[in-house]
Amino acid sequence: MNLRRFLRPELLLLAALGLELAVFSQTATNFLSATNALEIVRQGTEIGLLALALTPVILTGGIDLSVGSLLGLCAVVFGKLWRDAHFPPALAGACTLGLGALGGRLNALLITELRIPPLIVTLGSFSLFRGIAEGLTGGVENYTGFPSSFLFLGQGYVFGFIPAQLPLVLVAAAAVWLLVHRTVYGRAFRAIGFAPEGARYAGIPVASRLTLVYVLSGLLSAVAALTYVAHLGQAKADAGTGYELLAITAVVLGGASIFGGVGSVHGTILGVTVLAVLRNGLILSDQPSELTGILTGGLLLAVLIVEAVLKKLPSWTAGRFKRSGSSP
Amino acid sequence: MKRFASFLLALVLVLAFAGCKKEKEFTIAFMPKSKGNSFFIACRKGADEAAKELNVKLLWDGPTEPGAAKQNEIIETWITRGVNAIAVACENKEGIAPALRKAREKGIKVITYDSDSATDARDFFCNQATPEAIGTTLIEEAVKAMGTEGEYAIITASLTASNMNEWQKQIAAVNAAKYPNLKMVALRPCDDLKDKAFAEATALINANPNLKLIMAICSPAVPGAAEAVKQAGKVGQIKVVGLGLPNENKRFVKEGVTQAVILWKVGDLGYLAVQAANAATKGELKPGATTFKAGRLGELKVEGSDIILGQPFVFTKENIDQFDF
Amino acid sequence: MPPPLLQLHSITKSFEAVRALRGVSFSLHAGEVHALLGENGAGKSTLIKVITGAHAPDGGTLKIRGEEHTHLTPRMAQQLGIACIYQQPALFPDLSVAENIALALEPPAPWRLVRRGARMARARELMTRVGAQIDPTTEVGRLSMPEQQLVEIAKALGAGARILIMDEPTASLTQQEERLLLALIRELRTAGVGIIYISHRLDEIFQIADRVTVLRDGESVGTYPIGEINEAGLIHAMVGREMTTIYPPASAPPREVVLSVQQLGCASAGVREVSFDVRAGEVFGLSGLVGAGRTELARVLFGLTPAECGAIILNGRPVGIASPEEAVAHGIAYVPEDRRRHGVILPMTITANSSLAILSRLFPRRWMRAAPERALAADFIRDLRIKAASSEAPGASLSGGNQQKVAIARWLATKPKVLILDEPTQGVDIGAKAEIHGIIRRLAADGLAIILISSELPEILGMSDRIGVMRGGKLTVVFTAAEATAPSLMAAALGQEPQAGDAAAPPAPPHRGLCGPLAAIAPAQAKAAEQRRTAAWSAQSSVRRGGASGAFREWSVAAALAVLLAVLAVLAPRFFTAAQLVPLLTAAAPALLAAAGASLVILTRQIDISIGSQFAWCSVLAGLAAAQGWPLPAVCAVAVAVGVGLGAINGLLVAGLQLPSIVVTLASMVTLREALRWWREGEMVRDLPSTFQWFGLSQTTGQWTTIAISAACFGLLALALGRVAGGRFLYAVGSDAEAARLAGLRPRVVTFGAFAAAGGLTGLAALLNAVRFTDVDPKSGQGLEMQAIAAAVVGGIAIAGGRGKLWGVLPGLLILTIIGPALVFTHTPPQWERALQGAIILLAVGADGWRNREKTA
Repeated sequence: MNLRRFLRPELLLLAALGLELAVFSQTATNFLSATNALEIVRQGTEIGLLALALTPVILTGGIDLSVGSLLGLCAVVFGKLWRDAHFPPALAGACTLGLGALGGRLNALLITELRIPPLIVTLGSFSLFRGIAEGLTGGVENYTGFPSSFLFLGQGYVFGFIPAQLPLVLVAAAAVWLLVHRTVYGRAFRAIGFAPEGARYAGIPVASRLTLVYVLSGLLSAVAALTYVAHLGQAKADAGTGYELLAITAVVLGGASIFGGVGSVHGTILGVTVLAVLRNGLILSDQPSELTGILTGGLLLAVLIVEAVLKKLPSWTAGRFKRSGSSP
Repeated sequence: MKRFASFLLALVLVLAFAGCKKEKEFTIAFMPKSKGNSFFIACRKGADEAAKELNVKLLWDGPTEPGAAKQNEIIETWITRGVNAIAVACENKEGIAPALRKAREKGIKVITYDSDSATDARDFFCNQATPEAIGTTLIEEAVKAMGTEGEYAIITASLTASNMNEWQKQIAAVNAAKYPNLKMVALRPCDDLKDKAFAEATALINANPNLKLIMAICSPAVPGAAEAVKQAGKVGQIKVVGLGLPNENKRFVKEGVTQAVILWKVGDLGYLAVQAANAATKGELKPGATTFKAGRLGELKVEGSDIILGQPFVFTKENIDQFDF
Repeated sequence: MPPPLLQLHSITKSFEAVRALRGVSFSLHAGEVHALLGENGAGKSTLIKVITGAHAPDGGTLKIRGEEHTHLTPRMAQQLGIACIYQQPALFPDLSVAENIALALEPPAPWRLVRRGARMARARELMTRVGAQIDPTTEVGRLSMPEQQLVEIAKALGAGARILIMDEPTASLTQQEERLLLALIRELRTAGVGIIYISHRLDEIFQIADRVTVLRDGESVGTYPIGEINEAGLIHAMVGREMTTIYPPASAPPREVVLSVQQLGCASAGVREVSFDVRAGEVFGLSGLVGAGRTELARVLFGLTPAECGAIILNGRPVGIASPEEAVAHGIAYVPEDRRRHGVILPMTITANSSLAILSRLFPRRWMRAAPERALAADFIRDLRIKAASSEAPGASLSGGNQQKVAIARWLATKPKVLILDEPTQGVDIGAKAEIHGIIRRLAADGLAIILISSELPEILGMSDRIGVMRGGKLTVVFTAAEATAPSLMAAALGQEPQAGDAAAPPAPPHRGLCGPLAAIAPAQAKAAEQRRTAAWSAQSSVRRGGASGAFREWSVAAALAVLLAVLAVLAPRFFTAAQLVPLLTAAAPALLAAAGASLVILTRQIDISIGSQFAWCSVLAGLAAAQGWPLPAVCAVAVAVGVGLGAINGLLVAGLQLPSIVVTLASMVTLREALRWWREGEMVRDLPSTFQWFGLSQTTGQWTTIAISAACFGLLALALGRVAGGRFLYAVGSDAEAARLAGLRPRVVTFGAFAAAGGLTGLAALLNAVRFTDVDPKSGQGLEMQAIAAAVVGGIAIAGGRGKLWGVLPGLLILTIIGPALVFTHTPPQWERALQGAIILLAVGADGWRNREKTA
């Protein structure tokens, strides 16, 4: 019983992180340094933001496969507004955030009004958003040459060493953490994830709460799009391809149950960190990038299997104990 | 409490193992647009050869799927790692530039090969073929195969692949200027998959009865398009030219399905990139140089910051058997 | 004397904190009807599940025909001739009546043909025997509750059971159905069947039972031959004390009217023109048969199914209540009937559960702090005497009574003006029940207006100041506490004058009024049953599933395909040439098999997103085998075997460890893909022998062979899903895994089989794809999973499992594959292709969602 409580997902992940640090400090070059730690944050920003976006969604028992595609669409629209419509970056950015929220609203509308499972809705919008991004640009257009004041967001350093993304990520993480763990909304997300009908019977406005999580997910995708564009200095229709799966992996690794109700923002952050350190450490250890994928998949499976086995263990031993105890 | 305890434990473990390792060996990092692309694997052979000659460590890594963001991440991590030089084939002129500029600020020499970045983001570009040269060669070979009038179609990797977009621009420009009776009827993406290229080519053949040629400008598309022409029974009627590797196309070139496969000698390109990276780092190749002695390739001309390796090479029925990559 | 059919000795069983059985002994002889009596929660259902092998007992012995069984499984129990009709029908809502019967009766061998004619004939015969007029082709999810009960009875009859367990079989039957059933039971008894009969209707028990055993709090109180005991004795045995004066007396006189309901109606929920008032300090009882519209009325008042006509007047002001939030805002609280699903969120703590309805009020700025919540929970734990390890104990760890108190606490926290309690003491032990009654009185004394819905006549008589009786969705009569008697309530519920019954229904025997909790569920009238049938159930069942219904989706997708083809025929007639169509179909052939594989997995309510990676591995390994010069059959075997193997790994993790399939296959997708890239470095498998391409045939023959293999496999699979037992198991498991387990199927094995079969199909698909070329591209299969899943979903396979026909996948896939060429032929720029695909997916599922919504609105 104690063992089961002790080995919670977060601890399992901390152990994995410890292992990574131990191994990479031996094998990797310049791994243990403040600069590298900050670089990891810089490089994990987009996936991290998407994982933050997905945490409330998965808490409600839903899923959003469209975040990566929405990132691409937002990036392209931002570029188009800035270059073709001559919007100043701030205005274009604001419009992009609006677009992200709108994309999330579309998902929410189909999920709450037509009661279509989120997996299918977002599978459709996964194609739709990417498709619109390609359609708008013909796939060809690459928006570049953004002003340096905007590029600072993705390439600059505050005080010369703190990457500009760090404050942004901290603010976003803190905001989502507070939302999920310290507001009535977070409680509602969990209730919906555990028992959607039960939540309705408790007077929770299920539809509007679900709308909130999907709109938030779209909004954070748009934020990620802006940091992406600023980081690379370009906006193209292929931005963020495949990011949704990386983000889902991080959230699930962080202890969230894909069935809903269970999960935490700090777990997600830990999951993102474990994956980012893994990528970083492997490159610094001169290992091929294919290994990153293999180990990511392996780690995900390993954590799931250990958790499943641990969950079975106590009830199994307890059952045996009882049975032998009851015989005369 | 317990959580804190275990965190402490992890920390102690780390410190016990700690001890920063510093890289001393002279290292050149060599990046393809994407791994798992046979073109770059051929490049790597030449790069390995040069590294052996020069006795330097060669790091070979890149994204497993083409993407500027992933290239960026690996380059930035290489900067942290501390490599001496970076040679990279840029997925995208703009997307990679910030990372490369940062590398140069840290004193790392940057060489681009295959496709260039923004010029201020690198020291030298190993220029075997400019987008203009490739585009021009492609359309000239097409004209050789189909004549100066008629319809042709292009199969590209994806609509977002930036170097292919530049080639297309050049093809369109030459087409408009020199061959007014030549008409490009369709452009289709094949997601860099041979199977999909086959399906696209089949549709193109059937949808355009007057089609005389398919130009396949990404390497899996060349055998894919050739297979489609062959299976449609249009060998000779519809010609195929494209950018690809000799081994993947030998069969079709010999059968007369594919008229011309255009490529530079990729091994040489990899070789040159490593040679240039090495020389630039060691100060043997300085800005403003007009020539560069690149090992077995001999003396090469340097124009501005472009090291000129030569024009694209055209493989045909006559010469393709001499190459194995 | 032969050994008893069934003998249980000192059976014990616990669930987490609850000790459900504490040493129960029980026996059953051939040709005997042995009644099992006890209040809700006494342990009857658990005992039955032990006998049917659904629960393994923690201790004690179980003998069947003298032979001891220690590891009884549902399937073994079935083979030993044990059949059970559960209170909650263990049926597959997505399957037809005939199929439900067949799955229960036919052996669980997967490899046998389904004979539809025989199934249909048997189903018809059995339905006639139980006296039901139900078309065997009807989907069970669309039947009413009593109809589902009849299907259950038919199943047990058909099984030719030696030991038949009936758990309140007549609870919701019409009188005619009930008479038929009792006649059937007598018939079976004569034939030597042993019957365990659970009922709350004492008159029935005295009519039919030979012996009766009474359970109380998980223990056996005693077993009595029916002639040696009377009703009073049985009641005494059940409740453990006399049924008098346990209800606390009313204290203060009622005050002003708080809630006034006028001509309230909601046809879709089955509530018609209901009018009544409730005053502050008053307990207004709502009596009536199960399904008479009481819960439905509560749902209307609480905004779950908003009123369609009439008025709700609160404190003199008419209010509109369109949702539970609004009801809460107006001070209406509802403690629902289904505690475990609706009343309490089981995994959440007591604290979280009790504050759930007032979060926004407790924390008006939306920021939560621990202290107020804790204080709230602590108050309720003290006031309501909730027994729990701590306020942070999850709801699931509590006993039924304490869960109910938490559910009540949640609503007391909202400081409501009107509190609706729906069966608040159902399944609650005696002690907690008295406590809950005390709480209700106290609340009334504090000035709350309380609506108490209860099926227990003594409870409603003892607790209420006034009692309204509902029948057929209407509030037919209101008694004052002084006027109301059990017989008068029962008569009103049945729609009879107290003494003069009509010919079909015998007059309510006087003892019904005395028999306390047992009289609650009385024979329903045909009208009431019909009411339910037309209203609540049919509406709910289609909402509940939310998938494609009927063949609508298949036909609409086929129609969409036809439209697309027609447009093409006009704009680009050249599309319809052999030169275009044959290669197109050849290219679609592998994708069709992959989509079929994806569909198999989705039918079992799982998903496999690693199909593309599996495809690549199969292609490469088959290619390498061919390059090594292996003979063609061996190459084919390699492709399929690799696919089966990879699918089996996924299946093992999903079915064996019960891991979520989307995560497992996400992990295996990434791992497999990257491992292949690492190994092959993108290099094609080249220079395959000429015998490999087109299986060594000519191109045209090869193309047609490929198409034929794919079409044949797909067709056979589609047929097998309908006609081979194993195929139906997939639907059964996807429809309801627990029901499948009770029917003797092994859901985990079926799920594993689906994954392995999907892998095999993917392997075959990879082979069919590879033979089209002379080299194998290790990147092939990239993005195939999305295409396959999209085709399945567009084709009408419901992601929630158990629904959809494989035939629909064919047009679904064709639509998605034709878009690309269609753009080429119409000379449309390619950049909108992906957007079109996304739009088609959303349109297809959106149209279905819209249609279901229209239908249920």
